[in-house]
Amino acid sequence: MSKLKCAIVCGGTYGLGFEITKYFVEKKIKVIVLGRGKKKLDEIKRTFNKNLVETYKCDLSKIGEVNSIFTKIKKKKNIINYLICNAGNGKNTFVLKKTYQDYINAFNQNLITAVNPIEVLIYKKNFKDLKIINIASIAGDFKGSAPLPYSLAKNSLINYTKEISKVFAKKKILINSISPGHIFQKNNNWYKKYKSNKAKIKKFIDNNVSLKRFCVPGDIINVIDFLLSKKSDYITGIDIKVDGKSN
Amino acid sequence: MFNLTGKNILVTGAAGLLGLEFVFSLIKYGATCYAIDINIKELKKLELKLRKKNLSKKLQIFKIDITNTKQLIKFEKNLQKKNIFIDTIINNASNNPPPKKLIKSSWHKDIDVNLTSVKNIIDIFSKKMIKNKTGNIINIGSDLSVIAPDQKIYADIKNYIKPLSYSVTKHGIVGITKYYASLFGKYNVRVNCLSPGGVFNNQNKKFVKKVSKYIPLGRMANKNDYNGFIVFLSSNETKYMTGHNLVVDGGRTII
Repeated sequence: MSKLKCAIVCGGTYGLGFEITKYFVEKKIKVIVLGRGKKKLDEIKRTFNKNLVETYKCDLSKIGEVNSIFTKIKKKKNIINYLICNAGNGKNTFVLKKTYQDYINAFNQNLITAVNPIEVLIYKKNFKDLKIINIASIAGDFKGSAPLPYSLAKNSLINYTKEISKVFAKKKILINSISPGHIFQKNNNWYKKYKSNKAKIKKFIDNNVSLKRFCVPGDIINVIDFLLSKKSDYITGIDIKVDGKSN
Repeated sequence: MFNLTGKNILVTGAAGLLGLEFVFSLIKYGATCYAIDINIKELKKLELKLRKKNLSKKLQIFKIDITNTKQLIKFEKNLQKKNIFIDTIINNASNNPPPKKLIKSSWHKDIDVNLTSVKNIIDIFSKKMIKNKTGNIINIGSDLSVIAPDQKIYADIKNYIKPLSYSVTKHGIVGITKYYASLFGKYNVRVNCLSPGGVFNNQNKKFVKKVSKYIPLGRMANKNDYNGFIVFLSSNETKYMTGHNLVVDGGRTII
């Protein structure tokens, strides 16, 4: 059995997820990356030390797929210490006319993608001193003018975290969520918006964020680092907002 | 993980149960603490402890009544004369006597200590922060900043209920936090609240057992359980957090 600590990052191939994967590799923690895109998973394998990274193609919203991947992970005798549920998608919900299917998609992509890996891992029992972090959003607090299906799904994720933490506390499993503000990262949505209309986006941030700047991945990584440390062993069920106080 | 070297941190109520823990931890991580309280006996003891570790220079003790605005203004001026810039404030002082007996109307005292003095300290010390475009203010709330007290916890203590003023002031602290976070954001001065749950302090076994049943993690906090959180919020690692009430209570408030 490996003596290294082990983390699973759901949605760990790009954006904030990529930075979380990188964080674990830099900390010499073995990281199992789950994602939907084979190309991006292969890129992760090429980018990082093979001894520290394992990748699996998996649609986390499908319980059957999650179950079979977690069985494989267990067979390889991985004992999980950290689970980061970062998978999510706000893109498909940027529509004016929202349909029933938009709501279903938003919940599948932003809530079920966290619920499935959490509950399957607990069922498989291959964990030790487990700490779980769900990446929610300030949209979950109905801030930031995000579309309603996305906001509702993220709000549910925050409340799922809160409710499930009571059950997990008995097993000494700590689970919290982080709600990032508007993340600015090369080639992400905000980056593209900023590039297309700098003045408009600058005005938006000035008007809506007290600290007058975008959130950067490092702001979130710092909080993850703290929540995974021994220094935070008395906190569970809480949502931490890292949003520069956004409206 | 954290480095507070070069930070000058003002801690009120520094001689209290959590105050002493906070001061010690902040110094351990490199900060210089300006510790104020009305009773400095315990701080003197801490100074001796720090002397053994060659850290006593990192602790400056001041006997100050935070409800006396004149004393606070004089204190700030003295620091200015010495070119000391307080970049972090921890508003930890609070009137919360142990639940032993019926306390006759503590309303005005609670408002003075738990709210008015916090506002005054922020107003006095934030001017320099605004000028320097950097600052960090941490208010200490309570799990009772988000929930109401369950008076059943105190049922065995004759003629005692948790006073209304405590709830009001702790909810108010969150309001102060959000207000100043919104006001000071543009000056890069951030304001957060740390809300701890009940701390074990040799209360009787029956009381501890009763309180622990309300806490998913199954125990009251140890007095050092919050040290990591105060260092975390004081550090630059949280430079994008402002206006947040960080509740650290073993899950008490999620029930």
